[in-house]
Amino acid sequence: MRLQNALIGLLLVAAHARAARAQGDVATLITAARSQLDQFNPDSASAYLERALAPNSGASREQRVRAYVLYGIAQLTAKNVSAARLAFRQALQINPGERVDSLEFLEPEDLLREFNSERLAAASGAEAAPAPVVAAAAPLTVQMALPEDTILPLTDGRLPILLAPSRTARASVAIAPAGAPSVPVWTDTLASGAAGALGWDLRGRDGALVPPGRYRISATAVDTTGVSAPTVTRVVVIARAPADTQALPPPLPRSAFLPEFASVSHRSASGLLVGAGLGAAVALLPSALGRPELNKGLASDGTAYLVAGSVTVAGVIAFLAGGSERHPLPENAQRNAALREQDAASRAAIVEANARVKANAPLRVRLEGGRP
Amino acid sequence: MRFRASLVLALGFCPIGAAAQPLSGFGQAFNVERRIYYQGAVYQQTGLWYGAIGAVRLGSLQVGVSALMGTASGGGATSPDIQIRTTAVTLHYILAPWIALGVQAEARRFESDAGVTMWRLIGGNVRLEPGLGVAGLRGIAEISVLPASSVSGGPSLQTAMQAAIGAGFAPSGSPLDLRLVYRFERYDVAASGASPERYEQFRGIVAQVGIRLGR
Repeated sequence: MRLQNALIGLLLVAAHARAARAQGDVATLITAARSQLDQFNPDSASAYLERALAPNSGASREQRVRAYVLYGIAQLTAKNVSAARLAFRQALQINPGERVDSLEFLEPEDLLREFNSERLAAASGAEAAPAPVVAAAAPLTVQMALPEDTILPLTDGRLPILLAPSRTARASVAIAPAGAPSVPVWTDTLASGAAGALGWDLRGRDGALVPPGRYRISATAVDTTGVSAPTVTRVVVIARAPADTQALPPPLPRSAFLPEFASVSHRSASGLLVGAGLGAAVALLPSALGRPELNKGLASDGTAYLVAGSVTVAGVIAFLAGGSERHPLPENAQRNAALREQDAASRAAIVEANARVKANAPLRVRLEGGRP
Repeated sequence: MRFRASLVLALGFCPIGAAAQPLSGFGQAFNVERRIYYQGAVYQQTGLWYGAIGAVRLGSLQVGVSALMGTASGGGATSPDIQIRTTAVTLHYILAPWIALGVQAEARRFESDAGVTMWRLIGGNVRLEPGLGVAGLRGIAEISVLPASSVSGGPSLQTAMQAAIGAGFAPSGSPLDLRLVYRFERYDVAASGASPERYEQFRGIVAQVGIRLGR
C-alpha cells in the first residue's frame, strides 16, 4: 500500500512537472506574440497564439484568457472584427471580470469598444460563443509551378517559378545541379506573405550562364514563427536549343581548277644518237684500233658487243625516259590559288557564323517528368 | 725515277683540294684479255685485274690517280704467266662538263719468271662524257695517245694507244656513280737488235663503282 502511494505520488509529480514545462512554453509563445503585436505584425502574433491556444498546448486558465485577448487584438489590427469579437467572448467566458485597459495602446481605436461590447453581450446572457475561434494551426505547405517545356533566349530570358505558400509565410527557392544539390547556383525569396513568381535568368552566382544539364529546383516556406514547409523539388533539364546552322559546301572538284603545268615533249634524238654512236664505236673498237695480225683468225670479242649493247640500250632508255617535261603555267596557278583562297574564306565565314549561331542559341528548359 | 717523283707530286696535290673541291673515288675490275704477236704467232692470256681510281678537282683542273694490278696467264710455255702492276697519273683541263683534255703518265710493270720489265707511257688524253638526255645517265669515251712511251732500258713503243668507251650512271641525289666501259689498249714495240717487232693489246670490260662528293 505504501509502495502504491509512492508510485501515485511520483506520477503526480511527473504530471505536474510536465504541465509546468508546457505552461512555460505557452508563456514563451504569448510573450513572442505580444512582441509581434508591438511590431505591428498581427499575422505572426496570430500564428504564435494559435499554437498557444491549441488543445494540447497545456495552457493554464490565465494563459488562455491572456492568449484569447491578444488574439482578438491581432484580429482587430488585421480588420477581422468578427474573429476579434469571438476571441474576446472566449476570454470573457473564462474570466468575466477580465479587463483590457492596459492594452489599449495596442489598438486604441476599437479595442475598448469591441471588448466592452462583448462584455455587455455576455452579461445580458447573449448566446454563448460558438466553437472556439482558434482551431489547431493548419500545416504550412508550399506549391511550386514550372513551365513544362520552354525556350528561353540567352539575354533577358527568365524561367518563371511560381510559389504559393498555404498561409502567410516567406517562400524561397534554391537551384542546384542535380548531381550536387548542396551547391546552389541560384537562390531567391519572395516577400513575406506574398505569392507569386520568381524568375531565374539561368545564370549562376558568377553571372555566367549555367552549363547545360539537370538542375534541381527546391522550394520551401517559413512562417514568422520559424515553422518550415516541407521542401518541394522539381528537376529541370537545360539544353541548347538546336541552332539553325549553314552546311559547308562540298570540296571544290578537280574540274574547278585549271591545269598548272603543261606537258611539253622533251624527247631528244641526241641522247639516242650518242648512245647508238658509242655503242657502234665500242663494237668497232677492236678492229679499228687493233692490229690485224692480232685479231685475224681469232674469235671476235664478245665483251665489246656486250658493252656496245649496254650503251645503246642506255641511249634508248634515255630517249624514252626523257619523253616529256612539265612546264609551269603561272597564270593558271595564280587563278587556282585565288579560287582556293576564296573557297577557304567562304568556309571560314560559314564556320564562324555557325559558331556564332551556336553560341547564341536559346536554351530549352524542360521539366523532367513533363512532356517529352 | 723522274716518273715516281711526278707521281708523288701528283698524289701530294690531292689533300690540298680534297676538303673544298669535288672529290671522287672508284674501285674497278678489269676482265682483261692480253694478246701478243711475236715472230708470226699470236699468244693469248687472260686475267682479272683490280684497282682503284681517285680524282680531285681544283677549279678547272682535275688531278687523277689510278692503279691496276693482276695477272695474265694461259699463254702456254712460250708466253709465261706474268704479274702486272700499272700506275697512272692524269692532269685534265675541264673545258666543259662533258669534255676534258689532259696529259697522262703511266708506269706498267711486268713481272715473270724471266724477270721484270717496266714500260713508261706518256702522252695526251681526251675524255668525253656527253649526257644522254636523262639526269645522271651519260656516255663515256676516253682516248689516250701515248707517243712518248718506251720500254725501260729497251726499245721504244712505236704505237701506244688506250681507249675506253661505255656509259655511266650517277643517280640524282646520291653520291653513287656506276660505270661500265670497254677498254682497249694497243702497244707496238719496236724491233731491237735481234729481237723483231712485237705487238700487244689488252682489251675487256671494266666495271667501276664509286662515289662523287662535292658535286
